[in-house]
Amino acid sequence: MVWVVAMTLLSARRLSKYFGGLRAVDEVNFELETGEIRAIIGPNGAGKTTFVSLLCGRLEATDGSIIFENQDITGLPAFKRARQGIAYTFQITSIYSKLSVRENVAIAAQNATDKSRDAAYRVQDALTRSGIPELADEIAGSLAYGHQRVLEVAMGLAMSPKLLILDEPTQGLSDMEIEQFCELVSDINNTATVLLIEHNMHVVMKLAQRITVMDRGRVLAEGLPEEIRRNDAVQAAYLGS
Amino acid sequence: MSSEQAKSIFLHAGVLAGLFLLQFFLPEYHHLSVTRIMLLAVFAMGFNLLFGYTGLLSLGHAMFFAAGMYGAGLSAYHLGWSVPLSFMVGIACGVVLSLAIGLIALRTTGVAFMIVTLMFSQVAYLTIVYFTTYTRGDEGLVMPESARQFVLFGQQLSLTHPGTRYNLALMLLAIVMASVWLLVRGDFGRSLIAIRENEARTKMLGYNTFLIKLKVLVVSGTISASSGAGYALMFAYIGSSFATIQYSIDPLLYTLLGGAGTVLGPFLGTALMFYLIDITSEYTSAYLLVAGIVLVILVLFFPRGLLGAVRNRWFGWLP
Ligand SMILES: Nc1ncnc2c1ncn2[C@@H]1O[C@H](COP(=O)(O)OP(=O)(O)OP(=O)(O)O)[C@@H](O)[C@H]1O
Ligand SMILES: [Mg+2]
Repeated sequence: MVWVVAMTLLSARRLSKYFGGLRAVDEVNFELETGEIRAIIGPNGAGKTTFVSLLCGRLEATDGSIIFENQDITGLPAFKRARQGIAYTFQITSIYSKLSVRENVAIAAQNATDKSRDAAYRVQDALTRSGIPELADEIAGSLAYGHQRVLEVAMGLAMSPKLLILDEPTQGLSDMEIEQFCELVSDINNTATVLLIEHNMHVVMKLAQRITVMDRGRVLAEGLPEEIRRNDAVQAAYLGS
Repeated sequence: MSSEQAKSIFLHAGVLAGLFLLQFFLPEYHHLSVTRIMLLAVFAMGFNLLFGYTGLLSLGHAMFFAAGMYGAGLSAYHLGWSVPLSFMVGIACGVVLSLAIGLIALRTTGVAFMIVTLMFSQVAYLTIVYFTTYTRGDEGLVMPESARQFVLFGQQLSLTHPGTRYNLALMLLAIVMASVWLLVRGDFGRSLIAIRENEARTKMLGYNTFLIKLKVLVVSGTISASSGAGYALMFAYIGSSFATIQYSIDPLLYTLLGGAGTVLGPFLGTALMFYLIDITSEYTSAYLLVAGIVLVILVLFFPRGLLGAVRNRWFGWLP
């Protein structure tokens, strides 16, 4: 008999970030289970990007703590968190625009958490899984916007992360690209926990197993997609209907 | 080995072999010029690791050159140490100075980094002038006869002999060129380029960018110091003019001209600039003006330097 016990991958305790007087993230408590796809939604300026930036170490927390795989990582610099398996893709596309696609992915693969296969294999694997192997020799900056977003994810994938944080990955993509993107995220989820900030409710409902709603730096609600859809406070603050 | 790699090895080894053969044909004057060019190219190659590959513009590399020069020169002059030992002291001074400067200056980026390195270099210059009792400041020191002869690998060598100097300079160039070539083609080189292109992203991809920048600054400073140490011992003279701002700007010009972020670029740039100034100074006293104009034209039309343009157009494999 096998007991399937939900394991906590990451948790945040009273996590806060103040920009001067502005409480961008305000005493947030948060738990993420290994293997899930979690969506964070909320209106513009709710603090979503700031919150995940605290998790990946791009910003330093004003207060509170972060536990990743039972280890306190609150004080760890971003590069160490990345090596421990937290990958982050920027809301604003941030690639090496003068380098080739392959080189972009190779840079990411160099510090992969899982190095059981050699680097060339990991690069090719990330390109193939992301569906852009034929673009490998293109210069990243010359790619169409949608492909640049996919490259961002491919770079995250090449790090063989335990947790992949995607900040509004579908922003600016066409409907067809969004469908392909959803498949990619499902595939990534076979090997990694995914934390997804997303405005597109179709994508959220399709992918997320649980949803966290943020508003003004706080967690407004959390639950299954169905529960969130029915939640009055969420309707009022965000869904607007 | 990929064919690109083979081509690249062939090219660089070819340049070194060409330089070796050249010494048998060069007239005396040019023989000496090429010796100087090779030493200065080592300086520029060190500079280029930091500027061309990592994107950090130091305006104070003269201090590293001077650290090598004075480390070697002072120990040969005052302590009477042998040439190889003095050379090692010069290199050690480069390591120590670049480590110390790196720990401080790398807390800044961009323009602030340029200013901080410039200021430290001024401090180095003023320090040399201040301790004039030992350094004789601007007037400088001429190396004693004892520092002109030495034994290397059981071979009695004399630095008064032009052929010896030429081949020692070539040896240093070859060692530095091979090291830089290996360095920039590996994982470390990739991380340098990543920092140059997008440091914020690079941090998020698991790179300790501060440590990488510190390492490359130490390598860069040490290579520059080896050039300074070689210069002091081979040409038997050290003086504070080698620590002035001009010696910080020169490697930048050489690198821009030849092609930043290429292994051979700094060498090519040094050779061209050296002869450009050499030739124009025969015709006009305003030779620096001519050199400046040529440089402006080159930078306008070949923003990536000569080798950078060649690489873009024909040879993508050029490292
Ligand atoms: N570096 C900063 N300095 C000052 N204020 C900031 C900074 N970054 C974010 N803020 C502010 O913090 C609040 C939360 O911003 P954040 O970017 O986290 O929101 P968001 O939920 O990601 O919004 P969006 O959906 O528009 O991406 C906003 O009011 C924003 O103006
Ligand atoms: Mg955001």
